Amino acid sequence: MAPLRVVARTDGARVVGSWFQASIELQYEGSATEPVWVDWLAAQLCGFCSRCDELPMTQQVARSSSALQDETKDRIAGRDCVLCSPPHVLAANECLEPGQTKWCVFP
Amino acid sequence: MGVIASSPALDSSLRRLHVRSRLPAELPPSFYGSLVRSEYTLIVSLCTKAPPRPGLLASMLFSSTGEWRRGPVHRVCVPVHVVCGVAYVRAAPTAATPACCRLALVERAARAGTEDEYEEDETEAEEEATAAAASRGEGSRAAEDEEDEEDEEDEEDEDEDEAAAAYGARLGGGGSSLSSYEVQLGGPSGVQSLARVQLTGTCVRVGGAVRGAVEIFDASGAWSRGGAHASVERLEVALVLIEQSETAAAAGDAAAAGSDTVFTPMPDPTAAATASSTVVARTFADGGTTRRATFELGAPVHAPPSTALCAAGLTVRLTYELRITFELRGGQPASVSAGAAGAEPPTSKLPWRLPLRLLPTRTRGRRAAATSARTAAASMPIVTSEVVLNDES
Repeated sequence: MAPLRVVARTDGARVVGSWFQASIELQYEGSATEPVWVDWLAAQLCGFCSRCDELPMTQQVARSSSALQDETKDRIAGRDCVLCSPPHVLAANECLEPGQTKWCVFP
Repeated sequence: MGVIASSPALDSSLRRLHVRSRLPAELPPSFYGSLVRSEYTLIVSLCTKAPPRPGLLASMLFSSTGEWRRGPVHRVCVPVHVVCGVAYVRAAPTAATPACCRLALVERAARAGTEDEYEEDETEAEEEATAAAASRGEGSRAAEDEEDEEDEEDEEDEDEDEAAAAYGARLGGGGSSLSSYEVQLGGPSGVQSLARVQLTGTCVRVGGAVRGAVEIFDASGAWSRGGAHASVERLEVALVLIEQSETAAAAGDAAAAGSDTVFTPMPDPTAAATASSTVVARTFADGGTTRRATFELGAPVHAPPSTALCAAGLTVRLTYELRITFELRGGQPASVSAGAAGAEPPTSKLPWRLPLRLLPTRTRGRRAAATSARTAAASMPIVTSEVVLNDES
């Protein structure tokens, strides 16, 4: 099956007390023959202070589950959660046709 | 802050979906150090599903009631760099009480570019701030700002005084805009002046610059050191970030004893208690002819201010120092240098350090914060993360 690509990007630094911005795109390759269904798309903003022997957040592996989980609820030794937002469902039960791109922006 | 649009439709040709949140003021800055790491991430999770498969075989293999089949959760992590502004509250949140924010979803017509979005956001934010101030019955924002400004200036003055007290050689501080320090060397023939360092101040804003000059004494370019002559051949001026660990227990003891700066080694003896990294440096090398070097070291806008970070009971203080390294050539006793006739005179390095304090960026109010964020964003690359779902039915 043709790949469904999730692209998320941010434009750099944010100052405390201000808004942050990021964008999310769902790209479904045009060579596909069937539509793909998105059960749900969610976002969560997290902040952690950790000792350097812990893996960076971006290198940690997601759990093998199909349920939406709160990433800040994991108790990992050597890591403190300093910022948490509840996981927020952005879209649910969406259908992407081949070649379609859908996106949203975090201002 | 609640959800404004609860049933979004992802159609890029018609509308945009805006999900936003304000970052709390008490967040520690983003930092990727040698001892501790402070990171923020926007985690985007996606779960796909497949419709019931038609046909007799499929209905026998799967459910005859036509259930959808869910795939695994795929996760994209986007780093978010957090910079401290004036609004920064220095008391960092603890693991027991993390700061909270809530993502909000706004649906609005699509427009080209992002500048208008910022302006609109700022207008909304100003209105929110005005409404909040009115509801609290506070005085004017301007008066509040002036008060904050005075507090910060007082704080900077105190830091300047602390540095002067620590080094005791501040010259020409009164009535002059420059802080001046004399670098001296002690030797057999007494104390000799090596150089004079002048700075515009020992407190610098993140995104600002450390400006100053180093004037090397002795017009001949040499002075007696250990019975021979030595000259400053190379000069390096650097802004250095220092991580220094401090156990939570020691901090508590120190607070009880009325002191707030007691440093102890980390519990793990194999781990480094301090680490330093050069943020920015300038080198002057012209064979010992440098008499006066002026420098300007920019403090990057993404650098953390002087603060303390706490991770799992380990408190790490982030401090800065101006490190001036004088590289000397010569200066060894004649008996030593005679054995190496024709050889290059040996060199030695003399470091001189002055603690500096980096203050958060000078941003006041949400409009200024957004301006600073845009400036910061311009200096940083766009970070993109992606995940490709193959064989996802």
